Amino acid sequence: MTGEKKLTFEVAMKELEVIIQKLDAGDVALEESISLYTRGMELSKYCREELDAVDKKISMISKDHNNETIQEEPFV
Amino acid sequence: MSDILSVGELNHYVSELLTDDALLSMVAVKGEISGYKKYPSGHAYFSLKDTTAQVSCVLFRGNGNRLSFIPENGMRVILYGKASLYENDGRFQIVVSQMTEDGIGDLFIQFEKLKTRLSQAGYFDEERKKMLPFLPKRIGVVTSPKGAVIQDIINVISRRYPNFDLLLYPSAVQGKDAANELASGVRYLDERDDIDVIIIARGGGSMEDLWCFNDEALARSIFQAETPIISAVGHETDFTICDFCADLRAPTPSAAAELVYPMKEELESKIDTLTQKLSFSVHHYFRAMNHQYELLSTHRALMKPQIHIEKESQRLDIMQERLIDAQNRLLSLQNHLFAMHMEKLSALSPLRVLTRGYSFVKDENNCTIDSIHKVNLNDTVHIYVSDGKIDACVTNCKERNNGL
Repeated sequence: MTGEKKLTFEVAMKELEVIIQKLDAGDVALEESISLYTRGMELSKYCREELDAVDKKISMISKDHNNETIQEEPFV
Repeated sequence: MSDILSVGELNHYVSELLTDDALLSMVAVKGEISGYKKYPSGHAYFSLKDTTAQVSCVLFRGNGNRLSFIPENGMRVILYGKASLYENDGRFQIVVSQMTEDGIGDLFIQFEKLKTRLSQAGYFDEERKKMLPFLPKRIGVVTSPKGAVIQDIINVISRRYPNFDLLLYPSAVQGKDAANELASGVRYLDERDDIDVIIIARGGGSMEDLWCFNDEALARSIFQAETPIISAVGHETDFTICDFCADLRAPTPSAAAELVYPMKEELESKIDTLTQKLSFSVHHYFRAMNHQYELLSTHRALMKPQIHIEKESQRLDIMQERLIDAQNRLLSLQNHLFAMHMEKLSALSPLRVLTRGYSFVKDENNCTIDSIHKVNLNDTVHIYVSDGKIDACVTNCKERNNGL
């Protein structure tokens, strides 16, 4: 849950939901509630950034005469 | 027969006879193509023959263009058309309206055989199927760069997730090279490390058109790939070996595009909802803590500490500890809030404690001072109150003795 491992959008969303459940249940120490909240805000920010992390791009592999792939070029 | 006919009249008469015959107006004939010749006009002429006989055939341009294959000499076909007489030279012929390759029966048998064999080899096992990524960074598509399929896929994804990254591996999707190219495409995209999911796609067509998707080498490439693969071949009613091997079968290429990308707007609103919930939950939590604190601090025993009764003194001590503990926790919480500069959070209730005359103290290193042991004489400390910060110097430290 530290985020050091490869975090994915899906995992982050799940963790965020778990944090909210924990806070709602109320059986966490005050300090933990703060770190949960901080973590939750980080996750929310991460998810937002993840949605926009990729730029739109449509490319196509081009091949030479021997049908060997050579490079990517924009596909229109 | 008293009238003497001209040749034209004879031929016309026979032609009429043939035209009026219900059976001959739409015949299906099986045979082998021979003497196939296509003229610049686009019309094609050939003979259909079997071991005992042959018949002339004409395939006009319009119907020829609609064929799903290119006729060749020696090809076994079933043709559908109208038997008639070409009056100019009295030639009996079939005007072909539709033609299919004979041997579909063979194809079915081949298909079933391959399916059984691959099924037994575990190629279709459900437990081997891979999960699609929830949100792919980059997707690969193996299909023809021409035609509607790739455009449909691009259009659908553009609508769902505008900033997508797609890499197309162009491949023939019918004909003798197609199976090979498709398999190469799958292997190529799978070997790359930046492709999260592969779509292999083709629009609708006849069983012969789709035949390259029933190729064993292609099946193996799909089976061995580590990248999840969606197969979207033909229409919903078409099933190919490729569909069975893939991790997921989509009924159409457009449907594959929908399976691969979630709706971005939905994800955005889900994040918003969860973030609001988070703020609400933490707010709610703090309010509950404050409430607890208020209850303790207004307790009778604390308001009037002079009414110490031997029996209750221990309980009071415990309560005091809890109160101090809670107070410290609140202070450290506010300390955190300041440190985090979380505007949203700072609007929440815990900070209101400061407006009631409480404050919290931090040292030069921004650490909360919750004990006399955390400061030395003459240290500069920062006292946070509701409207700002007071810098102060430690002039005296005195440990509280038991009680107050």
